Amino acid sequence: MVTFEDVKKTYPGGLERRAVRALNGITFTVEPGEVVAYVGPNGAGKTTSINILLGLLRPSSGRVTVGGHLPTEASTRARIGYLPERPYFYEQLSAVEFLRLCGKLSGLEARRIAQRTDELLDRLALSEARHRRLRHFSRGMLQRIGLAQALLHDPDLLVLDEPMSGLDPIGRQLVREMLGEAKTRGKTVLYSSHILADAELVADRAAVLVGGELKALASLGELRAVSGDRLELVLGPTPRVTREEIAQRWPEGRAVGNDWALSVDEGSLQLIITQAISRGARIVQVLRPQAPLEETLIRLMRQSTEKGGNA
Amino acid sequence: MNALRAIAVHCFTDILRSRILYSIVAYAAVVMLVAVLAGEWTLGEEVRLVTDLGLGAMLLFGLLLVLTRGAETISREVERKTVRVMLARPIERWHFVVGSYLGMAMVLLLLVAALLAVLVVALLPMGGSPSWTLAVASWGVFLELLMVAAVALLASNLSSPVLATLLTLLVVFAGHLATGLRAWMDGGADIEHLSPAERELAAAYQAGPLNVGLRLGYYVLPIVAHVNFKTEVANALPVPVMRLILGTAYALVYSGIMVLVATAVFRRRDVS
Amino acid sequence: MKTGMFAVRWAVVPVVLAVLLVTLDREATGWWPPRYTLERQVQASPAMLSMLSFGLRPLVADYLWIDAVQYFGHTLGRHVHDLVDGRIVERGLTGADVRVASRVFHLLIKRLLAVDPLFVRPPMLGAMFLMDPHADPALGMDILQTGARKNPGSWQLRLWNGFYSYALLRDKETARRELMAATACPGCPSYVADVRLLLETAPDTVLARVFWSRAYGEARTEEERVYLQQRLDELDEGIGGFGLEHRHEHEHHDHDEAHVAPVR
Ligand SMILES: Nc1ncnc2c1ncn2[C@@H]1O[C@H](COP(=O)(O)OP(=O)(O)OP(=O)(O)O)[C@@H](O)[C@H]1O
Ligand SMILES: [Mg+2]
Repeated sequence: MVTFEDVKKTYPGGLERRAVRALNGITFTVEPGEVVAYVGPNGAGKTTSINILLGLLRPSSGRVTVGGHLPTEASTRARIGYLPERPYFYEQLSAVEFLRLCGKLSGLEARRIAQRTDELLDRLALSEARHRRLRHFSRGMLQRIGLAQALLHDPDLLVLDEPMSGLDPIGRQLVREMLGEAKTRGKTVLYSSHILADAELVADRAAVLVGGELKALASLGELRAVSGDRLELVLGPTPRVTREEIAQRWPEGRAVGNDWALSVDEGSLQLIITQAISRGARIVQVLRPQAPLEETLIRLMRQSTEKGGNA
Repeated sequence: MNALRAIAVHCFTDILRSRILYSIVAYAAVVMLVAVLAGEWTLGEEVRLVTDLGLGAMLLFGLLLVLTRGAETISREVERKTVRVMLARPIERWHFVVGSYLGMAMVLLLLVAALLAVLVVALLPMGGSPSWTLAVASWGVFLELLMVAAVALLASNLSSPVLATLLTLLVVFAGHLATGLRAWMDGGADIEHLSPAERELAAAYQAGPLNVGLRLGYYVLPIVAHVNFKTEVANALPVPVMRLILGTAYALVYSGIMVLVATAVFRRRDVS
Repeated sequence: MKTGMFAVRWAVVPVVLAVLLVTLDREATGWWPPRYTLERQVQASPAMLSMLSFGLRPLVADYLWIDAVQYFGHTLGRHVHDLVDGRIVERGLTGADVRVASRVFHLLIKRLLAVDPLFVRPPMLGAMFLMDPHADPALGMDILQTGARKNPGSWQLRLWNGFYSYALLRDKETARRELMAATACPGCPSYVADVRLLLETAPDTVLARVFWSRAYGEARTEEERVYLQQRLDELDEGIGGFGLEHRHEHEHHDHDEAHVAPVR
């Protein structure tokens, strides 16, 4: 559905600005019907690549296609629903007026626009504010109206730049539901997010972008497996030794209730257990944690930045 | 076409919302005030004075609108990032540029028509009969504003709102000046009325580069004199139909070219 | 209540400011109210003025017209009532002052004509004012001729030019030609043809009476009517033919044209 082919983007410099290389040749494909989470640290180039995908920016080299067509063709964009990163809309319009404008620009009929507007505003809990000017909308409400306009024309491909930002827990739950629905209806979704817990819940695959390069594009299971070689060892206090004494010996751990948890690799597990027992500590638990995606990604990002720093 | 209309209507209502109504009220106040005072000052020329002033104020208010709103059509939308939701939809880029321009043009037409109505109402009790020439002169003001709006559109495409306003003002002023300069230096103005310094300038002009520059400028600048029918209204003379037609054609072609260039520039632009 | 106080407080500011500024200005420059002096420092040339007019040449001309009218009203047209030997007498400018004021007024109208040559009323009324026996008919004739030359399509200017050519300069040939041309101009009323016929046949008094009364009928302002009424009164009293010529003869030699010529 979406193909990035060696896309590079350099923002041109000016008199007092240096040119910024934002994308350093990224290549990947999003299959039809797939939900892909686009993750990466701030400034990684997520928004840049999404803007290229919408034809708002031109790539310096390489190309992006949607269903085989360039996004600079209007007909290509007819199939895309887009939520911009920061929801700046025509603030002098009311919610309904704004959606009507969007609908007209997408070539929808007036009746269809009215119907979809009612549906979406209802769904996104904005019915109350339908005639209020966007100027008077709160941040989260703007985010919701942004989602509404992205979904308005029932596009095949949803491109959402940080759809969860600014939303309350109910809102986030709502977005998750809507993404799930889109998926069951066979839509393709590419969305960027910093909230990885959400990504874990809805995405099929995650594309990890760091420093303008694609570090990984894999299913979430695969990504988690990357972190599999570490174990968690939980030590408990006994009358012979307090938790503080344990913590003094292995300061890199963290407190879990009365106990002290250490992250150790498989090779050194035996040794540490022996040492702990000899000091009088109690072995509470040894387990192989399913590392949360967040931790995995943080590690991925750290690795890359360190590598980048060394290079 | 639908998209174009939607954008034009959007821009139209957008500008209308920005308190343009106040300028009409201010205009009415100015014209009425002068109408009341004019008799005292002009020895029987109050109709002419109010007409001239009315047309001048029409131009002024139109220019204010174009310079404040027209010169930021594109740059404001790009800077505020509102343009993204539009351009992400299945419209061509030129739809946006041309639509914005048409929206502005509609506002200008409405503004000029409204101000003309106010002016006619102010003139009636003074015994001024509303003439076709007045309507023609207002049409000329509209055409001038149309050209300025086209320049502003291009300028707003090239730079920030403040710079674009300045640039537009400069170009428009140069357009006015070019006509005067040319008439003056080609000997259209009475030489007897020139000061020594001005005579020197005229001589320098006839000698060379200034001459060439001016002639060049004549093709690039909006020569608004072509659609200026204010002298005719003021002196109750008829406007030759041919002049009206040619002036209108010139203004439309000039504006068209400016909009075309603006479109070409915008097509290549990164908006994020 | 609260908003009322608020408004009052803020209304005070501009009032105080205005009073202060006006007082200061009156002290410093005296521009408010305008203090009209006989001499005039004229800055921008008409060519410059019209070039900078932003396409609003008629409006600039209007301004120049208002300015000229104001100047006239404060100098030539100003009559001060004074008490002399227990009688009220009306006094205008005299002697050298008249000459200066006439020349400045004439200059103002010429400048105006350079900005908007098609403006009919300034040369017409301006000439009329200068034709007043108390002013300077030669200069009046000059702006009338300039106006008619620059605006050949105006029957008013042609008519007045023709009439005065005959009445003042006794130039019957020019008068005939101008009146002829006037009848050919668009919008020319039919009585102009009558005036032309009278020019050939009737005695001066008849011609003058027809002309003045027609002009009176067309007058738009009180100032014109006063002037024309004076002419008609003079006819009634049997003074001269047009009430002008003796004055002109008297003035003509002590007034050399070179004086008038170097107008910017
Ligand atoms: N208009 C621009 N001009 C110059 N540089 C830019 C521009 N927009 C973005 N950049 C730079 O490009 C790089 C990528 O930015 P981008 O906005 O794509 O990051 P991102 O992954 O979306 O970050 P975030 O998670 O904070 O939204 C950054 O270094 C940024 O400073
Ligand atoms: Mg971003």
